[in-house]
Amino acid sequence: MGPPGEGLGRCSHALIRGVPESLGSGEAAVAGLPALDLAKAQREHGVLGGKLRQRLGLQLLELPPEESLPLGPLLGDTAVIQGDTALITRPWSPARRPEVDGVRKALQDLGLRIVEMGDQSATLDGTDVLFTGREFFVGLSKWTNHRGAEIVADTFRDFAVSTVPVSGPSHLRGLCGMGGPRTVVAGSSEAAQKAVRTMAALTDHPYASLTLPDDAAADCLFLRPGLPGGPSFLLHRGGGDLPNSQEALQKLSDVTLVPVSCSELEKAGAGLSSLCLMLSTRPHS
Amino acid sequence: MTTETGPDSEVKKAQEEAPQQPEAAAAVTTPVIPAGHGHPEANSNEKHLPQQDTRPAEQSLDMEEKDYSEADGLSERTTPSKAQKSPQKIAKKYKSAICRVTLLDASEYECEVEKHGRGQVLFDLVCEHLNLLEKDYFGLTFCDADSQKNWLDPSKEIKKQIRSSSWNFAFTVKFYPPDPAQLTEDITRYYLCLQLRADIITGRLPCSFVTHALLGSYAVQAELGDYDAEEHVGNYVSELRFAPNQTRELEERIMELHKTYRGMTPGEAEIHFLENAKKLSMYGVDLHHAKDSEGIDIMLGVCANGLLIYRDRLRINRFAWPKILKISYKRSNFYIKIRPGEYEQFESTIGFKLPNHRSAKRLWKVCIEHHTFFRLVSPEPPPKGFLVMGSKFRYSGRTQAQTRQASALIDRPAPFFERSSSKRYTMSRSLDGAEFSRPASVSENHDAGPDSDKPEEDAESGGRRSEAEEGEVRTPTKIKELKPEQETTPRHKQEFLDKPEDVLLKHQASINELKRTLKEPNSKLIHRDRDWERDRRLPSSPASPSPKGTPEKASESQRTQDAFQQDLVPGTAAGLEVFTQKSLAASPEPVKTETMTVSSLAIRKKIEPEAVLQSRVSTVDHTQVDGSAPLGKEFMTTTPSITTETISTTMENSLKSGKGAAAMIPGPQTVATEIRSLSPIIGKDVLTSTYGATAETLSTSTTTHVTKTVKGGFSETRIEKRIIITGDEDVDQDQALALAIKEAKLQHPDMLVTKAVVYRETDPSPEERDKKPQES
Repeated sequence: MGPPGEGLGRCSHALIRGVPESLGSGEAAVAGLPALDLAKAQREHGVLGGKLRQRLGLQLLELPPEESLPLGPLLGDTAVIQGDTALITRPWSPARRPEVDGVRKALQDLGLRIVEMGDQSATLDGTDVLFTGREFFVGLSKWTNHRGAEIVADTFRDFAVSTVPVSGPSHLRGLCGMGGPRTVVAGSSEAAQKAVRTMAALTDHPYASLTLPDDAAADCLFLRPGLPGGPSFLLHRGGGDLPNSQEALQKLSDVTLVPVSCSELEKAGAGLSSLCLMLSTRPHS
Repeated sequence: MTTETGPDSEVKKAQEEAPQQPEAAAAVTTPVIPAGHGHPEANSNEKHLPQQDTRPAEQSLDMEEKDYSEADGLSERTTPSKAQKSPQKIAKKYKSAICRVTLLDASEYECEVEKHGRGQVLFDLVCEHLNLLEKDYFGLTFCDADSQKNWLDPSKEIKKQIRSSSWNFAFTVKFYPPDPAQLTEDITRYYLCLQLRADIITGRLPCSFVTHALLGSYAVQAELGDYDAEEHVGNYVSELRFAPNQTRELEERIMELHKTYRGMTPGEAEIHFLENAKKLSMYGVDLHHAKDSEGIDIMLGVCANGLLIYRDRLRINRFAWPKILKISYKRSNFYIKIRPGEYEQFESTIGFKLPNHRSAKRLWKVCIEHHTFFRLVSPEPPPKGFLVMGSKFRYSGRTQAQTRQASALIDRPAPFFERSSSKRYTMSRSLDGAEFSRPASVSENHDAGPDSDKPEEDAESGGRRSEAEEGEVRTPTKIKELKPEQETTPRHKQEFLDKPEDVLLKHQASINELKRTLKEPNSKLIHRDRDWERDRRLPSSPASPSPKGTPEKASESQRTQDAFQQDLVPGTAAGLEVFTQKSLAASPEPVKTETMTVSSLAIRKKIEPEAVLQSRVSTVDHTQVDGSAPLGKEFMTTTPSITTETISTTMENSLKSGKGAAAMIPGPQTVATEIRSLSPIIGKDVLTSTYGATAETLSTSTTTHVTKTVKGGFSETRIEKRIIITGDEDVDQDQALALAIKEAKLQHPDMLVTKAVVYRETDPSPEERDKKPQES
């Protein structure tokens, strides 16, 4: 198991899902989404995949887009992965529930242990879950309910699972993330700060926290793609997207910053944590 | 222990036998001499007894009446408490009772205890039987008439606690050490492992498949030793229990892992086991069923760091000890008074509804005990004086800080013991259904029925109501009832300055006291955790508007940490906000303190492969006196750190150790050896200061330095010898050193060589010399 926090960010593979045309067309509007520039969104997605593969050296698996699933690229909502276990979620939006099927299949093929959420009363969006390396926080947002959080606790029994009420229109991961094994980064909105305070009260572990001007900047991914002892990376929103937060991010030490852009996809509610799923096929190495 | 033949004869009938346990009897009549055996800790335990025990009866009278007005009290008071009183006075210590104690391996131990003996007498007997010295982490439980598990209070008569129940007890872990590696003896860890294995099997300590497999594999290695292809055939682990629902897949995984542990000793396997088990989120959490103010079922978990609130399996709130000002109970309600958060002016009190009065009291006591054990340096004396309302119960045993100090002085060769438990364990466990043994556990788990609560304590609630219906304990610091209006930023600082002076003084006094006790040269300012500094130094974002602000819920320690950091990095601005810090006592981080230590560590490493050195790491709690200490507010803040000074060796071992040490220095001409002895026994300050050359090719001179210190009941004599061995190049320094150590050993046969530091003074440059001991 290694020292506490060691498990954070270990990954060998990244899973993403292509951007369907339906995301740019009127169909997305049905889901109440603003129109977006499809070509730009696809370009952003392509660059993201490229960085994951080339900059981070990860095995990249890309699921094909499905027109019936406009929000399919946001596959971070469909699974919670820790170690060798993947909990397939039950997204709040009934329209999105079919998204889990492709993801389940891919994760299964990669050899992960699949856990399903049987309970029909439970809802859980994967981006309401923050894993710190030592414990889980589950945001009780408009998408995730208590029962959903409870299933997270049932699935990952080694870890404390605490609930964090999240107010406003964000998922928990839209407000905060991990900047390192012992560092929580959070946006400066009231909702983000409140979530961080709640987490601070609930945890047994010492974390530092770093406040960023933009909430969206806190939706970053701390990744350790290589072998233990290898370099660490922070995949984050770059200066083109969020210029105000760049300076603060420089303060994270021992981590190589890898900026990416997803401002167009953001219009569909995407953040870095929802655009890719990280996993390790050697969870115990 | 001798056991009497007629097992049934003892409890009710007055036996007029001569005491079989004179010691035990003595312990009862004169509490200052505990259970014989002269364990110093027993002494310290007993010290608190007189106040506590001399007058409980009359003082509690008015409380009793109060009790009667309440429903719970009514049902309980009809117990024979009063009736017993008079016989007790006349009762002779000549009567004895047979106690049956279920041990952690599920075997049963029978012993005889004077009928009016205190819990301590029995506990000491059991620990002696188990050959256990670090016993403060453990306790005895019994089941009351409602089959609730109660802790046997060592300071009270057994008979009064168990009342009409049978004299059956279970030996269990009471305080789960947050860092088991800091336990001194393997045997202590062994018992802790047994407890945890039971916790896992019963589901009290939930874990994932992967962890079940990992822990199971270490358990197998500890119990069966190395994998042996001839001996271990088929599914050789299937008869052992590892998980509540054990599958073939799990067993296979365990066997796979077991094969990879060749050469791992049982002791090492247990350390690995514990290092992994301690990270589990429910490790050492004592759960109690309750309802919140809205009537929702929750669980209250008491642990080393504070109080955790669970709903289903989810943690929904947490109150670290520093955040709690007062703990109290009244009837079936349990209350905690919370320190105000940043934006709050007032303290708040949170109430929980327990199933009944007794469960509220049990929870209250467990809180008091955990708080004292893990958070305080020494137990608080029970309240005195006429103003005392409520229970006078206080934890009177040693605190973790004290037990660590004491166990650092344990001076015996590692005791031999057999590890083979789980089969027996499982058998009897599954048969007799855990009713009484160990954790009333399963039921303690999240999904258990609402009526099973937990560790209860002495059942005097009914038997003899010496305690009040309500209990409350204030954590030692007074905090102002009303916080002045303050604005965001300077808050932390101010809060610190706001501290009433007497608190600070008191705090400083206890720091000084601890320092004196420790008398450690390096006990001054060891910053507990370097990583912290690193992490915490993250500068802040200039753009964040309300940086530090707020934490309504931020725990006390968070503020402490903020301030701590201010001290470290003056001028660190906003933005970086420290998140919360594990309560210090519970998150010990080893800190190496001096080069001396480092070099002896190096030696030890060197030697271990030879497997002859019996090494020991002593724990010393260093006091932190810099800015953060007073901010620790209510309690002494200690920073446990490991020093490796007490590497103790036995005679033959020291020879080898000498070798190992010398081996690090290839080809020296002169070897200077420093031997330091540490012994818990005094009176050894007569020393010869020189001794003759032991070989023709060398000349040896010895300088001796003796220090005597007194530490909490122990007197410790340290002898430092500087032995200069001079010789020419072909001197076998290994041998020379070995001889020198042997000689020293012969001169002080009752002492231990704890450290041998070898310096070579030859041609090589000084840097090289300095480096060498460390790098190997």
